[in-house]
Amino acid sequence: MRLGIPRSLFFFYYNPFWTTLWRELEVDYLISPPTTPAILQQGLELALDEFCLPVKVHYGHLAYLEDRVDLIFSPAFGRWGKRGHFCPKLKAIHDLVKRRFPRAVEFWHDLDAKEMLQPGPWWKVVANMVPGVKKKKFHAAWKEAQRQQTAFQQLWAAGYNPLAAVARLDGERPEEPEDPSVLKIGEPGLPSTLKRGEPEGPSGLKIAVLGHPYLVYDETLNQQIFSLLQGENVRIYTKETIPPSAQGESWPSQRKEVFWPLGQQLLAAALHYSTAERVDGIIFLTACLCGPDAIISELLAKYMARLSGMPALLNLTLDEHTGRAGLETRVEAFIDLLHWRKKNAAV
Amino acid sequence: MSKLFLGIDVGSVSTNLVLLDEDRNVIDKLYLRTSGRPLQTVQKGLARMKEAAGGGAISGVATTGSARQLAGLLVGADLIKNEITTHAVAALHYRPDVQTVIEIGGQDSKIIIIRDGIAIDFAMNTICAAGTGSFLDQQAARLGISIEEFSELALTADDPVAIAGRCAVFAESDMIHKQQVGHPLNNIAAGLCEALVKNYLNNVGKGKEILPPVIFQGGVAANCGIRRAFEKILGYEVITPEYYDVMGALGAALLVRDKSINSGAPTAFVGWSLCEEEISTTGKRCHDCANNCELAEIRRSGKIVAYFGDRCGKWSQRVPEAAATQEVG
Amino acid sequence: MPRYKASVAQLGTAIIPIKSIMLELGFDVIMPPPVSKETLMLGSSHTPEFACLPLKVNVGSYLQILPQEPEVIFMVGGVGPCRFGLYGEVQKEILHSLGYDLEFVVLEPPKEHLREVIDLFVRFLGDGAWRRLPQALYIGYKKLMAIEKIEKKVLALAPYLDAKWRQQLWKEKKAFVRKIDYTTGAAQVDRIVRETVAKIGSFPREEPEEIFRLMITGEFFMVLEPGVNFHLEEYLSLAGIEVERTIFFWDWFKKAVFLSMLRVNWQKKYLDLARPYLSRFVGGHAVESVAHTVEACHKGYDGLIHLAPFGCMPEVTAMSLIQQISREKRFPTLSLLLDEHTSGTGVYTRVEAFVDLIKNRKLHEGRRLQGG
Repeated sequence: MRLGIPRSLFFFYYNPFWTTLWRELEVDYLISPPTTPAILQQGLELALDEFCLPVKVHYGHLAYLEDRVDLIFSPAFGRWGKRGHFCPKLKAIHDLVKRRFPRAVEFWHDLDAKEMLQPGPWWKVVANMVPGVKKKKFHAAWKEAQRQQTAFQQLWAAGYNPLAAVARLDGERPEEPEDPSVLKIGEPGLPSTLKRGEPEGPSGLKIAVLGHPYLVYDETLNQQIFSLLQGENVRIYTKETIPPSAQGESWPSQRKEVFWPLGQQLLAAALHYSTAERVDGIIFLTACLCGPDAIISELLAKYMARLSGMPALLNLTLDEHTGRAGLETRVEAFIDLLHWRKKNAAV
Repeated sequence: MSKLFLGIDVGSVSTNLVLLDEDRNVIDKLYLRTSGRPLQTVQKGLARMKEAAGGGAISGVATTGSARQLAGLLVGADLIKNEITTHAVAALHYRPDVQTVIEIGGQDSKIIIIRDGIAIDFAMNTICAAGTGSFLDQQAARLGISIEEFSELALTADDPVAIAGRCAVFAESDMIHKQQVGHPLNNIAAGLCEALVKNYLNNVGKGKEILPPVIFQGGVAANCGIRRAFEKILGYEVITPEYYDVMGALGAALLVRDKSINSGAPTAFVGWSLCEEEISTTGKRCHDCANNCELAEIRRSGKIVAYFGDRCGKWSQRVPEAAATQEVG
Repeated sequence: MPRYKASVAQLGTAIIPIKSIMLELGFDVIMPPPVSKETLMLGSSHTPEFACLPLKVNVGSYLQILPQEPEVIFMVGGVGPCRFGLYGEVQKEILHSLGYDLEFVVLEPPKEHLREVIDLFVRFLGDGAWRRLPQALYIGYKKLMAIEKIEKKVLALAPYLDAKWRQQLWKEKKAFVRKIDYTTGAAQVDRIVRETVAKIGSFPREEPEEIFRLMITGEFFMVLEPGVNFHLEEYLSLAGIEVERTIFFWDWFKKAVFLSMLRVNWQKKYLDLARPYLSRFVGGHAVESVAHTVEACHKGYDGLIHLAPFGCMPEVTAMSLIQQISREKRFPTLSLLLDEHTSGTGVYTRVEAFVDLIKNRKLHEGRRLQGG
């Protein structure tokens, strides 16, 4: 039996956990490749037009896997901690795709009060799916998967963004599945140069690229914004690389905590990069028709506008029509603006 | 002499009229640009129909299209019907076994799914005009050719280029890029046709079971490039009926023919004299309540014949015969 | 104690009892004007493009009443995952950026916020207001019950009247709502209901050959507020369709507040119906919308109209599943996603065609059955 794992949605956060678990269970797996234009196109054809871009892309990845594997790992996302929720579409995502992809098996991600995933419900699914698997083996695999995930997230705080962290972990891993079609994460990916502490050129700018991971780390959706920025000699920061202590902070005028944890984390990261570790500019990537993004980007702009001395903010809405040319224009203009601001401040 | 029936379809881009006899034969048909003056365009169309009818009496008149209520008030319609239903009726008349109707007009597009001669599902474009005729007009203008040349050109393509984007703006920038890269014009034209068809299928046609016979109607159906793109992507023959550009008006005429013959009731048609009268519409606002409705006041030869657009009915019901035609469904 | 000027977010006829409660408590109440094009224009020019219509309407309404200088605005809230739960926060920030610092009292499921609400209450109304609370809630309750009773009666009666009398029926209904709005006493409310019931009961009834039954479901605000749904319910009812509206304010309030506080699992009924398609609560009214579609199909309705704001996360999820149900069960449904760009013409064209579709289908099936 071979299992397909879609490289979409929270793959960019959970992949050490997901892949380690199946490897330890000795289940052969195939990860869909980084989003290609063909995968995007398939997603557009299959998903409701009114869905947000990341969900459309998810359909495309499932379609890629459909004929290549026996079963598809279909993650869905529920609560996150005491009061947090994933957005409605991610909660319902398996229900949305199950008729179209009968091979999809749901794996429900419900993070308890301590923001931990519980093995119980997964064991029930795995026991049905993997012939002859022993509970003991499952728990050992679960433990190892959690260990890898923890190591992965510890790297974030050390300045590695998720792609760079996976690349680093991969280097340490003794063995990869033998199937050559399994692609390594971070390929074609660059961001190992995105670590904090890289040398900064004389004209170097610091920019925080914030947004949901499935936009920030999907190079087809974000039109390779990282390489564009690096070409301009920009040092890049992302949401994940803020110190853990900064994650609980909220803006002075913020009265209510955002109940989508990633949304709250994005606001906290923006605050961190506006104050403690001040950058020159913040690029906020939002997905077309993403409900939380519409609200979070508005709140961020308003919170920032109340204060003085804030970094410049660029809101980039990405959709399936975004062309590289349009993105370049905006980013280049933004960089020019940052240089002017810097020069004026120096005078 | 056979009874005559009139169908009038008043849309934002075109106004179409069909004159039908008792045996459902089309005596005459007319396609006019609405040019922002729907009532005057209807008047113009009526003058031509009067000629075609030899000044003979009309036994029933129906209006359809987005300005159907307004036009209905003006001409004294016996039936006011939405354009989705009239398009389905006309397609069924042309091919009783039709299963799918694709209609692409100037500003909107629709799909109607028919099984066993009954419409079971439909959809209209929601997001913008990109899946419609306006999109093609714009792109043809961009390429500096007429829409007819565009259509011809698309047919000669050997390798249509992939053009991204349902949105006219994005498609345009992508197209300019493709032009600069040096793709021949015919492949770009065919690429635009395929982009439109894919956008139509992703938005309007999403989740619909498209089965043959497929009828393609509306103003854009004249475009062979689009028809070929549909055939290529769907894998079925796509049929364009003879009266493809006036199917809404035809459907309206067919419906009022049946209604009139079944009920035997006399027509409410105001008569051919309408052609000679001066028609004017004045927009005004009613401030009698917080709704602040936008009212249209329609005058024929200076006399107010109808009001239109009020929520409460206070104005539209002042003209009794006008209110009577406001039948739904 | 000075009287504070208070306003409230727009919510169809449900706003009338809320206004009564506020008046009884001792506020000067500023009513938002009916939702109009101006409301939508004002709202959409100051809200994010991809925010949903209820937020745009709220902001638009507040901007319309700002010249009357309200000091506090009441609205209901939520705790996610639907965006509605953050409207209070977003509205506060938007109005601040326009130079207004208004107090928003967001009534949320009272877990930890109860204390805050009590503090606000005392601040605005003084200690004595507690004594007025039971009477205020009682009159509000009476009005709400009265309005919903007549609304249900009107919807049920319409198919049995001819077109002229249907017009009369809706005129009567609107007059009734106005009377309820103006009255202050509980006894008068009962009297007005009795009179209206008697009056519409005297309208000549006829037995139609065929009755067409449509269910309306979807997002809370879009279903309740005629100003944003193009008066759909009235439109269908005037056309002689029997309309079943699945959302009533009291029913929602009972479930969301009382039953939730008592930890009654009222959602189970809906989840059981929706389960083959949607297995969990995902926020907003998505589960209810899916459940109602299954129910409408089982109970032999002729079709269902699903109303939602464009971009609404729960309802777009529901829409995808409703289309699936529609395909699998061959059950006619029409989803209308509305925003400030939606034109009445477009909505009526779709709705009319949908009504044609269900009528033709039913008559055709009837013929086919007769023909064996």
